[in-house]
Amino acid sequence: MQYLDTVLVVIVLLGALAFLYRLFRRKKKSGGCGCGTEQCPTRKP
Amino acid sequence: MNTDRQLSVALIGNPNTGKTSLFNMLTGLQQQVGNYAGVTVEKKTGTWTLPNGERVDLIDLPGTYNLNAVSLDERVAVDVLAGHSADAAPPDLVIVVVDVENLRRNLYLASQASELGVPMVIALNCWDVAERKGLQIDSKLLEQRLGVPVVPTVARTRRGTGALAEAVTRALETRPILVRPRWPEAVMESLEYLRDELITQRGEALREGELQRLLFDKRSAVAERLKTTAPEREPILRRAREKLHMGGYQPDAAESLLRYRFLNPLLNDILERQAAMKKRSTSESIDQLLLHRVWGLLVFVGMMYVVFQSVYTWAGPLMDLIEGGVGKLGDFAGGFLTATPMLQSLVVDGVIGGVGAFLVFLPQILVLFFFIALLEETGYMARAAFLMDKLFSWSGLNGKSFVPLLSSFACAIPGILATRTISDPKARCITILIAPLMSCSARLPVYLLMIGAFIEPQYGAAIAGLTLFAMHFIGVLLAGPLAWLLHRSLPPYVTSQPFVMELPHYRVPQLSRIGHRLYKCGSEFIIRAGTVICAMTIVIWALLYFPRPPELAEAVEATAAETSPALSPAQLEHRVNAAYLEQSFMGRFGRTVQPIFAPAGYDWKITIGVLASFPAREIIISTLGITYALGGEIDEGSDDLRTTLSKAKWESGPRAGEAVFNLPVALSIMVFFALCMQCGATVAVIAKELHWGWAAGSFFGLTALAWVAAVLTYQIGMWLA
Ligand SMILES: Nc1nc2c(ncn2[C@@H]2O[C@H](COP(=O)(O)OP(=O)(O)OP(=O)(O)O)[C@@H](O)[C@H]2O)c(=O)[nH]1
Ligand SMILES: [Mg+2]
Repeated sequence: MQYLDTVLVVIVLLGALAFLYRLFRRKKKSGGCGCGTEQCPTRKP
Repeated sequence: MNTDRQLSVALIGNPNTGKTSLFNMLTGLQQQVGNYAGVTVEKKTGTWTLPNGERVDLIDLPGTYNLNAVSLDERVAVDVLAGHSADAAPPDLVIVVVDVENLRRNLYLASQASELGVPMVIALNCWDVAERKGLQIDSKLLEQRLGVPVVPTVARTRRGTGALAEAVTRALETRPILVRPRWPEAVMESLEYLRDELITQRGEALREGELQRLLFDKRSAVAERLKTTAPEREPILRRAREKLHMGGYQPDAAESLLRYRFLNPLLNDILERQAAMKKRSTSESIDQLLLHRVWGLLVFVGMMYVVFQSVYTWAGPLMDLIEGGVGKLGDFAGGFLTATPMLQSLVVDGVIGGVGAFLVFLPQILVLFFFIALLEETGYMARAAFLMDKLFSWSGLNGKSFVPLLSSFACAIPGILATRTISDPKARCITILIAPLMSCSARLPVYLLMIGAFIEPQYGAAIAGLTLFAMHFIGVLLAGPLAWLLHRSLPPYVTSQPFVMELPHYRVPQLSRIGHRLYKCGSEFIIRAGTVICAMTIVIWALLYFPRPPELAEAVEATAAETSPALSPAQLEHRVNAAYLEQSFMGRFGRTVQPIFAPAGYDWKITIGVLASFPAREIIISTLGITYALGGEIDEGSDDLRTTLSKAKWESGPRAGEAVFNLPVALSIMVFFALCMQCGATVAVIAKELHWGWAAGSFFGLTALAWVAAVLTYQIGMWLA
């Protein structure tokens, strides 16, 4: 059981890291902050 | 005509005439529409199916008043029209979107565009307004005089789009061209001279319309595209303009003089009836009040006060609902995963605790954005920008800076992109550099957390709203002096422009549009929580959870048994958890770096929250959520982060036992987040739009500024308390 626990956690962690890595590689410039990314649907007060 | 290629149709027109609204109606896409000039700054393409089943590429372009094209966004429009855009073929037809209320000025652009030889259809947009105001414009008569189809449309409600589609289908066959002025002798001679020098002798490929641009515009984008080098072409252009001068025309004013002289007789009797109708309109009297130096500002402050405090009064029940849901989910998932304790901690403390803490703020954000959308759609926001322009004129900010700065309140990235409307490079640079000081929506959850924990419970919704407003204003206050400094220290470029923003018409907001914007904003927030925030949360959980040597628990238990044997099992567990947290990777790092933030009153947990948020600000919420969950301080699922924070105590050091978060600390955190450049995406965009040197400079500059301001806030706060 402990073994399974470790394996699952490692998988989730690697998944998260891979996701972030891909995101960073794909679009270094956007990613946006909050309610708006580069094709920001909402702007400003 | 080449039949393999899909035909393309471009939408051009003055700013804020409804081009994008029409584009959205015709293509079914949802591009940004807003009631102020300069919303669209890039070219957008979509597919439009004509009534005969043919599909054409429809291109939406930034608004422009003329084809002189000094700013980057206008340049996009002009390049597409002249067929010089790298990724778009020259359009087979243009639809000139004309605001019926400003017919004469709008048709000036149409007249310039017709010189490029592109077939044209005119859409008389905002026809509903014309009807309501009783403007009687005879579109059939106009059509006869101009020589191109003229179709009344209402881009908001789709009225007239059928007729427009038919007119376009026919025009693609018949290729009608707008009537052109007959130029006087002097102009003809100058053009002839240019034609001879540039086309005949130097083999340049130039259309008639482009020759005119070379002649009439002082600085023309067309000139930069010539093969002929600057030293060679400048004397030719100067000579051509001299000829014009000798013929009795001031070169800079010749075009507008001649074009209006040509257009006026075509329009005068049509517009006369309109002029008779125009008394002093209600909108002008409202503007007298709203744009007043004193009253206008008072109204603005009052309005903002109502908006910000409603964030606290309206969103409560929904927040409780989400909080309850997140707690239940945590309990449920926790029970399910008891066999795998590590995974249980990851899911419950990490993902659910971290992302849940962030999701709670959705209702408040939606309330704020609802009001903002409402004010923007009515046309009030552009007036607020106008007021700010009066307030900030001393700082050397360009009048055109205000729309980009206003956009930066949602997010600095579209704000920075919107600076493309500024033609003076120096003013554009300054605007880009101060844009990150405008409080973007990613900072909102941080304010909401701190205000919700430390201000609202003690001082009530009114003061909470006021604090939230103040946080949005602090960046604006610092932006003025900063812009002034930059203005002083950067070399001048050309003379700065006067304020050119045209005040939009007041419009009744469309609920469906506002609904759509809220939906988009909300779904974006949730998607972001589910992807980036979630992934970063998992990584941060790991850094706060590992390493986990079993000896540590034994050691803590052993010491506890010796020193304080009366501890309950729950208290013991809490001690063990706290010990693990402190020696985790992130815990060690935080305690090493904490002295840097000690003057601002932060303990090591806040310090790691601040450091973890450099890629994206909202991460501080998840980080605090996980830190306190792992430390075992969020005891029940029902206990939310805000309450937990207010109970946190210093564990060691000179202040052991005192509350970590007091009012000065909470304010200091908010001030730090208000000013600091904690957004990787913004840094990257600045590097792309200006230069990486500027990006690095603004990153370090703003971070230092934020630190100083945070320390000052804390120290002054403690001294007052
Ligand atoms: N009453 C009325 N309002 C309209 C009509 N068409 C557009 N609007 C409104 O006019 C405003 C401007 O619309 P946009 O489509 O953003 O204008 P645009 O020409 O794309 O503006 P830029 O991109 O800034 O050049 C919005 O508030 C629209 O809701 C119309 O036919 N009638
Ligand atoms: Mg637009």
